[in-house]
Amino acid sequence: MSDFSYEQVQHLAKLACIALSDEEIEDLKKDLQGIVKSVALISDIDISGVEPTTNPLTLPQHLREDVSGETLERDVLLEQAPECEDGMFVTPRILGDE
Amino acid sequence: MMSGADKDEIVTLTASQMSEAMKKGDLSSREIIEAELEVAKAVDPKTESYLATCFNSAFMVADAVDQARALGQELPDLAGVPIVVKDMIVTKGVETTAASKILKGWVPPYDATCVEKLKENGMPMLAKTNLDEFAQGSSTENSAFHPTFNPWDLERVPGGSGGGSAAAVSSFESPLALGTDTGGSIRQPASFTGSVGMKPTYGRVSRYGAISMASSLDQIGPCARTVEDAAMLFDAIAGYDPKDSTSIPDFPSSALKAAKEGKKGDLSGIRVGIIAEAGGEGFSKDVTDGFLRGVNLLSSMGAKVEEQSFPHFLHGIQIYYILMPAEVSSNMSRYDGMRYGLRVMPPDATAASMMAATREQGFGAEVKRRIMLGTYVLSSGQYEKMYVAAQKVRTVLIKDFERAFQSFDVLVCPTSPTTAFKAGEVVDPVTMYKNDIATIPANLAGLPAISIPAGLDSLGLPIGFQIMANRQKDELVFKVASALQEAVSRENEGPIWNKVPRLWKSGEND
Repeated sequence: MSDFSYEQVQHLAKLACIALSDEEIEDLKKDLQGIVKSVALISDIDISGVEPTTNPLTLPQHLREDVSGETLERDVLLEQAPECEDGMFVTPRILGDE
Repeated sequence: MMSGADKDEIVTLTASQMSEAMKKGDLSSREIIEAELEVAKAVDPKTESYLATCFNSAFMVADAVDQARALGQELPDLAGVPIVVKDMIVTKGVETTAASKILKGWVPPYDATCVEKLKENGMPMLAKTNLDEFAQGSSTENSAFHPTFNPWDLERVPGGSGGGSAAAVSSFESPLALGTDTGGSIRQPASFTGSVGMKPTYGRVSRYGAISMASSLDQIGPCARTVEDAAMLFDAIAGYDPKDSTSIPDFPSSALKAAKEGKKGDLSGIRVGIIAEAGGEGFSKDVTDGFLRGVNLLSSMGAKVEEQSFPHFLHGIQIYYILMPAEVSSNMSRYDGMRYGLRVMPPDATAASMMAATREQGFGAEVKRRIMLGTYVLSSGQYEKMYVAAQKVRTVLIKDFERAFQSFDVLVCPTSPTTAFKAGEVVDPVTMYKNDIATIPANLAGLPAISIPAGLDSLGLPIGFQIMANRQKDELVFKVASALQEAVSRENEGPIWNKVPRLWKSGEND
């Protein structure tokens, strides 16, 4: 595969919602390239007709009984919030300049 | 105040010896916690195993246990035996950070199910242990707060991510610890520190309250100095939990019984497969030699040992470094500065710019690297080619194991290709990832696996021996490990864990 470009890493950072410095982007170009190259060897393995594994447990999913349980108190949860008001989380404005 | 000799004696007891001594009335839980506190004061500045301590609440639990015992109440075996908990597991009222700046100061409003079980068993929790940030690393150098050092040689790493739990147990700061294992984070640190670390079958221990890293791979498990102690702790935390839909229902555990059975040293009828590919290039000669000595001990106890070729074993690491970052990138998306944890407000902040700035400042380099890698493998151009392909190769690897378990009861290989390396020695990510080459396959297949010390290398550092079994055969893992541990102790004139320097004595390994 081709090398990671500055723009490509910047685009991934935007998708991952992480602001990165120029220096971090340069480091990641190199690191991602190295890691992707090292995992590329799996493409040699024959996987035709093989089903993907999403969960290593082979047992059927076991659901608990559909009865109401305990939940955490709103006040207790809000104590950990960066900012709250009237029993709600306060967030920065959603609409920006874009 | 206790004399120095008393303290030495108390902290070097195993968990089961502590339990027996308390039952007989020779020792109180308070005396144990006092001794551990004294040792922690002297040792923790050297190993830096702990992120936070909670001795005050530990003394309260200890006193309650001592009182109940004085009244003649029936108590669980582990009542009064202290434990430390990896800071990847949430503890009500005790700061839980996952060794990340993004969670600094977060005090969880609930307990993980396994922590509830520790409380039900009357176990005093002494501390939260250090780890690589969000359990992402193999040396505990990636903690946002400080690295942890190996009690066998303070210039070396204790392995990772659970280096804090392993270092605490092996340096006698605690007889028991809880860890989490996604690709080897319990077993590789056990290997580096001469302790015992066990990753249960996926689903045997509830993951509720374990901070998610890669949900199809994560498991909580026990860390201890002996197999018997690890088995006792396993029995205490295993079992179905309605709060974890991947936990296995109706499956009582009997690990301690199995460990005691194994101690007798009779392995006749047990078929042992040596994984042929987990050797050779990358594996040090000392590790290979130590491993083979362990294999000979298994044969001498009647096990039938044969080499087994595992065509896809070494591909495990490649599958892992596609699937794990994908799951990491998804699980880390919850840290957005909205409801808890760090919030960084850039000038004229919007929700999006606040999130990006918070994640920039809150996450360390390795976590960012894995989120970025995961975002890449899940992106539309790579999803089929990388992510789905890796899921299919995961199936191929699982089929290798299924075939092998038709001919073998357990599979064995070195836990880690080398013994503990020096702090700062491994900087390249891909080189660091190779530490987990032999531990990752068990996570991909959901198998139970244990690491116990097989001996020491030419530098006097512990060598880890890994035993894996088929899903839900955790008890068999404990049985074989217990037999091997006894044989290794006989050969080395005493247990390996007992050969570590006593760091609270001045002049030892300073």
